[in-house]
Order: sequence, then C-alpha cells, then structure tokens
Amino acid sequence: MPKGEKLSRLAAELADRLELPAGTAGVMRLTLLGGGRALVENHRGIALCTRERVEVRTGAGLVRIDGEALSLDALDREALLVTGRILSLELL
Amino acid sequence: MRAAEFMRGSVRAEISGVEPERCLNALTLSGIAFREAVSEDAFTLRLSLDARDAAEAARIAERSQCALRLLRESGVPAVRRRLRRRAALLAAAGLCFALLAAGSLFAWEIDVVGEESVTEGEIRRALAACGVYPGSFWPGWDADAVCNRLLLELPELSWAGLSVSGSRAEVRVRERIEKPPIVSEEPPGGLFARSTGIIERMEVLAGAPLVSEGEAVVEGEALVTGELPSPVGETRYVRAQAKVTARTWHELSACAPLEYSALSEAGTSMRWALEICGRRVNFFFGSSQTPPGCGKIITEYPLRLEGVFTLPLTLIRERVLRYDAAPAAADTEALTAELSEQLLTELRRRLDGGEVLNYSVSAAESGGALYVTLRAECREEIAVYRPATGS
Repeated sequence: MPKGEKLSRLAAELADRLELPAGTAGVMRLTLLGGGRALVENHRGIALCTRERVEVRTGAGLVRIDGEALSLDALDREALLVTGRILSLELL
Repeated sequence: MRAAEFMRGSVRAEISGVEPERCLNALTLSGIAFREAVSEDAFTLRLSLDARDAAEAARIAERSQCALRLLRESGVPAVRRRLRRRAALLAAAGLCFALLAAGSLFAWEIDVVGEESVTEGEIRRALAACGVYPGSFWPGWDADAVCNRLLLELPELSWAGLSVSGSRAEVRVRERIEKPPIVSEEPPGGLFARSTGIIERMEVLAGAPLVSEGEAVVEGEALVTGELPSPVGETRYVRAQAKVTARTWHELSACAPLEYSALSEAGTSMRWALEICGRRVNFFFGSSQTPPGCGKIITEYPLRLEGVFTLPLTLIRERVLRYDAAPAAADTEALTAELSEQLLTELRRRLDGGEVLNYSVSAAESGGALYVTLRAECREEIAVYRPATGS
C-alpha cells in the first residue's frame, strides 16, 4: 500500500474514533448528482482526462469515471466537477 | 458565459503534450482556476481560463512539457482591445449615444389618459397652448403650472397630472362629475300614453289618475293629470308622477336590396414615407390621398424602445388596395336574419327597459328588395310627461 494511502486511512480511522466528520480528515468524498455530474472532493489530481474516461487520484485510490462527452467543468485544489453522461464509477 | 467571467475576460486555450493531465494538475496547484476542460485526443485538451491567468498558464504548461495555444478571447477586455483599433466605430457609437441622450430631453410622444367626455384632441390643443407638444424641451416644463393652466383652459377637468419618462410624457386627467338635480325643476304637467295598449299596472305618485288597470288606452291619451281641484280652495297644479305598465303591440318593417356590389381585390401597391419631427417626407410621387375605388392600410413603425426612449422618426408604410365592384345576389336567408336582428334591436331601444313577450317575423320579396316585418307583443312603461300648456 502506498504511503499516502496509508496516511489517508489513518486519518479516516482517527476521525472515526473522535467522531469527527469524515471531510475534516481530508477523506475523499464522491457525490453523484443525477447522471450528469460527479463532484470529487479532497482529490489529489487528475490521472487521465478523455471524453470517455476521467481518472482522479484520491487518498482512497483511483476513482474512474466512465461515460460519454465527459468534461472537467471546474477544478481547484479541493474539488473537481466532471460533467457529461456518466455511465459508471469505479474505485480502484 | 457568466456575467462575472464576461467582465473579467476569458480565453479558450489548447494544451498539447505527452501528458496534458500533468499540466492540469500543475495549474491547480498554482491556484489557476479553469473550467470546461474537454479532451480532444490523447495528447490535446481544451479549457477556458481567465484572461489575466493566460501568461502564467503558458509558463506552467511549458514547465509540464506541454504547449499552451490561445484559441480565442472573449469578454470585456477583448472587446475593449478590438474597439481601440476601430476609432470610427467608437466615435459613431459615441455620437449615437450623445444624440440619444440629447433626444431624450425632448418629449416626442405625449399620451393622454383618463379622458371620457372631453376629447383627446381638445386636451392636446390645450396642452399645446401650455407649451406641451411633441418635440418640446421637457426640462423646461413646470408640471404644476402646466396642470393649473390646463384646468383653467378646460373647466370640464377636475384634476390633471403630468409625468415624464425618457422622451415620453403622460398626462393623466380626471373629469368633473356634475351634481345631479335634487328637486325636479320641470313645470306642472300630466302623463300621456306613448303607445296604444292595455294597462296592466298603475302606481300614481303625484297627480290624479284618469284611467285604471285593465283599461285600453290609445297613443297620446291622458293617463294622469297634474291638475288637482280642491273643494276648499284653489286648484293645485303638480308635476304628475306615475309608473304605468301596459301590454303593447308593435310592428316594425325594414327592407334591403337583393342585389349588392361585391368588392374583389384587383391589385396592391406599396409606398413609403418618413415622418421626422412631425414633418412627413414621401418617398413616392403624386398625392398621398387614397385614389377613388381603393382602400389604404397604413402601418407606422416608430423608432422607439417601449418605455425607454422615443425618437422623432417614424417610418410609414402605405398599402393601397384596388378593388373591382361586381353585382352579386344576396343570400335571402342571411339577409332576413340580419334584418330581423336589427329590427329587434331597434324595438328594444324603443321599449327603453321594457320586455318583448313574443314576436313573429315575416319576409317578402318585391321589386328587387326584401321586406321584413316584425310583429311583437311587449310589456313596457307607457307614461310620458308633457307639461301643462298655459301654466
């Protein structure tokens, strides 16, 4: 397991024990809005960006979003928004 | 594009390289916000970012072993840059704006609202006498003085208000309500029958009845007299008042020709004119009067933005329609129905609040005309006042 992923799991574990919201510990949060928008918070960058697939690095691994006419509508250090026709989501 | 983005200015850029995603991550880490990132192929991405970040983004792309190429610019900074090179266009726009601003200081449209019995023309003439007419300089108006003068010019008005919005002035008026007479000033007199009929009901409020319920009366017969003899003094004269309801019979006739001239369109022509500050400039030769045997449809296109500004320019389109008249036979049934309807309307007008109990219609053709006769049984008030002679 990579070092970053270990740290992320540790932070999640700690937040869980202290009964803190998961978001405060920098845990990745993925929100699917209908079938056309996916919001990824606490990401660690883009691994791949094509019209059919977007891969996002997170503390919990790689999030793969497959679909049609995908685009990155907004991106900053905290979150990114993928729009298009989303067909599947995978956590690798 | 959102308003804020438009104001800041935005660029569409293309990032190409072996791994354009690396460039996206580098941009994010540098705090450069971008949007609408779309992949063109495995080595090319297109995205939008603020115009002020374009140079920094190009440097970051170079560091990420990618190339950033600007595709197009949009928003206020780009428009401003483009306009800087078009001085004549800018000057023309400025001149238009100045003309518009100067034009809005004159009232090009005056609306009159609230008139009932006083005509709009009378009010407009009175306003013109007060200095309020199309093309007048409205900042020079004194609204209170204009309204006061308008009330003096037109005593039928009880209130007037003047407001200006852009180059449109609105004059609101209220008319004076005449006080109704409380006491009848009519001289003494009696009531007479206006139609022949049988009296069904009679309520005498003043005067002495001369007939009674169930009696038949003929047109012009006295029903109630205003002369009241007194056994102890002189005869008193009053204005007779009574409600006399009677059953009456009416017969009305109307005729119409069975042949009429049917008009058929024989051609149209179009002509244009321009009205500048109330003066008309024709773009055609000859008179602007409608030629005989023709109709004219006038459409006006004023240069204005409703509620914002009005300019003293109106484009006028006149469509002149030529007609040919040909004799045609009228539809007898339709004509009978139309005449019957008109006769009924006329009968109801004559009854003045009375009711039609039943009626029959007969039609006959004679001498190229259709004669329609309406016979009706009605119930109506038949008493009409007539002043006493020599009183």
